[in-house]
Amino acid sequence: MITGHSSEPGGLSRAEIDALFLSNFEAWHAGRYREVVREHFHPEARLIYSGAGTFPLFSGTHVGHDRIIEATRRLLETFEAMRAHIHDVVVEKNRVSVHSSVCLRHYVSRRVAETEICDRYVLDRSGRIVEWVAYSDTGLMSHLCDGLDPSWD
Amino acid sequence: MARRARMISLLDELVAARSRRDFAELDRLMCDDVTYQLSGQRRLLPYAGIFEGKAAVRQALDALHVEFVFSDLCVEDVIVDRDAMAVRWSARWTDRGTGESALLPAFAHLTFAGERLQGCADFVDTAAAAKLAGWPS
Repeated sequence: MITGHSSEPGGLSRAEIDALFLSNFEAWHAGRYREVVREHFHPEARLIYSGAGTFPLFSGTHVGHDRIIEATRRLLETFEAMRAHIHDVVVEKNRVSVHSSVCLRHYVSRRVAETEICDRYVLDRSGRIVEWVAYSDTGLMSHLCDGLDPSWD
Repeated sequence: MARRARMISLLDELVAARSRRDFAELDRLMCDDVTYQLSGQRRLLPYAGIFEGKAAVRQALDALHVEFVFSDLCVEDVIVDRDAMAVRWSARWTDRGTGESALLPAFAHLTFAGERLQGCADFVDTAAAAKLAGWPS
């Protein structure tokens, strides 16, 4: 459930931003991340994934549709995401922060746990995402790997 | 705009009080039923969890400060949405036991009731924090 507050975002109404992120969130967790990236991300968009050094598999900065899709593919081929839930959305003009949680299952170790996520986005005036900074509980994700090499490829 | 400026000012006061470990000032800035969440699992990050009420929040923050020294605390970006706020911040974490140190980026979501903090959720790089403290993953 989105529990954010009304605001006056740059090119989109607050309701449009809520609908966009709810739709993206559902599509993402249904495995349709390629479509979401190509439709809703600027071609030169940047994904900055926190935890650099812990998860060289997908941490760092990824620029452009193909790189963002590749980083996401690696993430989702490492962890199965289940029961995703949005807790809160904070919006001001073209900047959006989303607090959510998701249950992750590591495909190899089979360890499962719920984790909190915070994603921060910058949109252009047409509502396309130009920057996405992603936080996730890197300690928990490392634990789910159960000693398996997180740089698996 | 005045409301936004007041929210930013409140944030500055909270950050300054937290940096100084000034719990009397933090008490003044928090609602009685304040909640604080440090994202993570307690078995991996002992200071993680959800803490309710001033006493519990004070204890949680103090425990974190006993383990780590926080320096170079910097608020990098703030989104203000009526009584809610999303903050991108960073700080140098130095573990007092191991002496290990790193500059870690973090996010926080805060809510305010009137002029006081009602809730705060901190999202930090828990793997890096655990590594600095020498805890097994």
